[in-house]
Amino acid sequence: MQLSPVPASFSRKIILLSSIFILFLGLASCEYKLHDLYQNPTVEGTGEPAVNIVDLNLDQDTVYMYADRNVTFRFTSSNQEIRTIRFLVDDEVKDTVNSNQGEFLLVINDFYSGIHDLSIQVLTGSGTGSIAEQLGAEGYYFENHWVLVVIHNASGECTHTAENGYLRLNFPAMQGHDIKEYVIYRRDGNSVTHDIGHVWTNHFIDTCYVGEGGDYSVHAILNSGQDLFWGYWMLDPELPRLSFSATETNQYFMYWSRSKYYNGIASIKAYASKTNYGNYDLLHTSYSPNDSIAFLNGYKFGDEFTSKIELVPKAYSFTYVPDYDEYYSTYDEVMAGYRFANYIYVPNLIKTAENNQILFSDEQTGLMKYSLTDLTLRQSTLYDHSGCNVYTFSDLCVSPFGKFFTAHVCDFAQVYTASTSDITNYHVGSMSFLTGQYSPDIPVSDNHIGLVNSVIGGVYLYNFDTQSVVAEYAVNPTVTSGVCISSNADYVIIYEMGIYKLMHYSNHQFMQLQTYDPDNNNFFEFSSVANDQFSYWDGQFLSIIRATDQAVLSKIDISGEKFVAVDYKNHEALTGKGQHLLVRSTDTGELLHDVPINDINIYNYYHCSLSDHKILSNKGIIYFL
Amino acid sequence: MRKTLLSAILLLWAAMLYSQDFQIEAGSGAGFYKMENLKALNTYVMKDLGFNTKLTDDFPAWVYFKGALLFGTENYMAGFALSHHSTGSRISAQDYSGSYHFDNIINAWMPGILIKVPLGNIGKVELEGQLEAGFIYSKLMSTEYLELFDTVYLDNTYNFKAMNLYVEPILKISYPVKSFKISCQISYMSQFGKEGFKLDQQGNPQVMNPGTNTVLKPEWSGLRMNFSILYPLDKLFLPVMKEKKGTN
Repeated sequence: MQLSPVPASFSRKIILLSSIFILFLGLASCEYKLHDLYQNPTVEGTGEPAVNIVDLNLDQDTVYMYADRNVTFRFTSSNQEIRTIRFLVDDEVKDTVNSNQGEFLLVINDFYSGIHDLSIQVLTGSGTGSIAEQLGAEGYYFENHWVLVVIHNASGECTHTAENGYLRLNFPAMQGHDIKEYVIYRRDGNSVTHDIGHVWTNHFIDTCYVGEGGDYSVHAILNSGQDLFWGYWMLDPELPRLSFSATETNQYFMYWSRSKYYNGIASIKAYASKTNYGNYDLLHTSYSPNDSIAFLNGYKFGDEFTSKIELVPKAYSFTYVPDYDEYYSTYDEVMAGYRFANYIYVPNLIKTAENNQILFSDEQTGLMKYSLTDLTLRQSTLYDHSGCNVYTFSDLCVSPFGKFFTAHVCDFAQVYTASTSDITNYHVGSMSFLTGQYSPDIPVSDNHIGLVNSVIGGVYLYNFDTQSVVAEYAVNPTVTSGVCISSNADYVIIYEMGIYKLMHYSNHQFMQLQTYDPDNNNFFEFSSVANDQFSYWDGQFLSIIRATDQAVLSKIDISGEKFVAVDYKNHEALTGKGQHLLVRSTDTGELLHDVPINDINIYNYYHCSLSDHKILSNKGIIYFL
Repeated sequence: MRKTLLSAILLLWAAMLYSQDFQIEAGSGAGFYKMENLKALNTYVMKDLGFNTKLTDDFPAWVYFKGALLFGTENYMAGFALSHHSTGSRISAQDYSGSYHFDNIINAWMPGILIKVPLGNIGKVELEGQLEAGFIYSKLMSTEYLELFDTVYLDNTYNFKAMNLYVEPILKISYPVKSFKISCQISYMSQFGKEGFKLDQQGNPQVMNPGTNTVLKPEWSGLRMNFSILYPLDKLFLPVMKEKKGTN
């Protein structure tokens, strides 16, 4: 086989295509070529420098900081340039200065009160001129530490006491500074701050404070002239406690406790006003801390008025005029009489119990038993049970001789009954199975039998001890209700069809003994000393009647007077007439006591009772007969 | 401008059908580039650095390559051209403690069209005028690197792209050597268009130059000096045609 020669046209095509290929190869490979990296010239380091402190106003190892603090500094280095100075607190960089001198502001609000670590780092170069040196990554490093004690102020440690009858303000001494003095300020009622004293010790005696409360502050003045707030006091008022009472001769007086700051008091003025916050009559001015009583003359039993004492402080050295004397005054709203209840209004009737005691209740203390013999509270109880939103004892009824009582609790839903000898040893239960939705008061006898009125009419005798119905009276059920029950539960007064009936109960039988048809004003109550006696006021005459034979044992004419109460033991009856409370003998009608009053509400609106030669108002006051 | 260029290309294509002469041209030369915007970036970077560096490259003149395909008559020729340009910059420093460099390499492909007309002859030397216009597809690769004591703190590379237009008037002197034609030419390329660099991703905004507070953009304008060789394509294919005729 013979090879044929390559044609010339084929060679030219190859040349052409090769040229095109080389052209594009050249185009693609002609990217710019960069020069090599620049070689940074360096020199050999000259060794570790010695850094010296030329100026640094942190002269103690422990730095106390009470306010913003400016740290000025200047360092020198023996043979290397100081490039950077860093301030760190608790390892956190707070500031960086790229110089060998300058200042750094420590801002107190950046730190919480307590102990911190303050460090200053001085960074020098290495002297080589390397990239790392220029970037601060190569060099020499010096560091020093300080204990930084940050105290925003000492208010938490500012205390106050009374010393020798003066206010003493105590505050901790400021550490770490050259103290020139402490300045005590007080803000007045117009929010104007007054400089009231300069001291060099860490306490201050205010000789003009009387316990009116106040805002004080203390500033520390440094030798440099810097004024640093150091602490404050916000004193609550500590005015004397004002009380009111009466003697057993019915002399009324107000008295007050001794002030802790008695030496700051120039005088105490005692006032009384018969109108609330009206014009006050000056009753007495006391100039001695031992003189703490002011008698009220011209006030009558039951008078309501406002008493007030005003403390007059010794004058400050500067002009300090309180805008309102309320800051220096304490008030007491009172009613003339011997106070036996804390609460000014006793919502329930006051009921006499055995052993010369009374029962009453209020919304704060609950049910209370109070001795009229020694005028002290003997017992109290609250019925505070889950499911009960109202703890008041309502519709209080005490048995004639005062051995048992009943009351509604739980907003009338439950009947609370107990012996008066221990009012906390109770039995509580619902009587709705007899009374339905109706919640009448339940008179109770001294053998613990209650007189229960039914909602559908009729009267039940209910034994609380056995919790069972003893008897039922339902002759005319829809128009019948029980009024009161005798001590032995053998006599009851029943209201039936407009007429009051004396009924005898025996052997499960009711027997009518007598009927009474009084006017609208009437009163029935079984005696607290004799089982078969009861009192009856028909609007004109008050009678003591023996139930057995309905014999009238005594009868007095009190027409024109409002009957209020009877004290069976002492044979006395209390009535009201005009601006008088009258105490008469139930035997003869003789007027035994005439108690003048100003406010006839004392018997017209509020309830009074009579016991142990005392008139008791449910406003919580006693008049001694 | 793009529509104009496309229209011209179509006209050239139509003209090519009636052409009698075809030439191919390849050459290379030196391109000088303005690049003031990128130089301002370098100035800014150098000021911003906290240590001594040196600007070892600052977008200098660099070799570029260019090819063209021409067709037409003795009095008039047109054609397509494609050139590739490149330049770059470097800010750098290096010593025993570490090294730093901030490099910018910028490349551009420039496809265009051209018209060439003879201006006169001095003996065998031909003087020609040429006008060229086209697109500039620029690509910038920017790298910043910092290493200190064998720890690399910076190693960032970004690629940006931009497209602009150019016009380039050229004065050319040619001398025929056998079947080739050797040319020297001098020209000035003017860049048009304000498009700045964008990240090499669609939808990205243009990159700002912190040194000028303007858009970072290429600036390829500058003087061009070029040496090229032309070869007539009809001489390449004519012998083939003659050979074919001879065999018949």
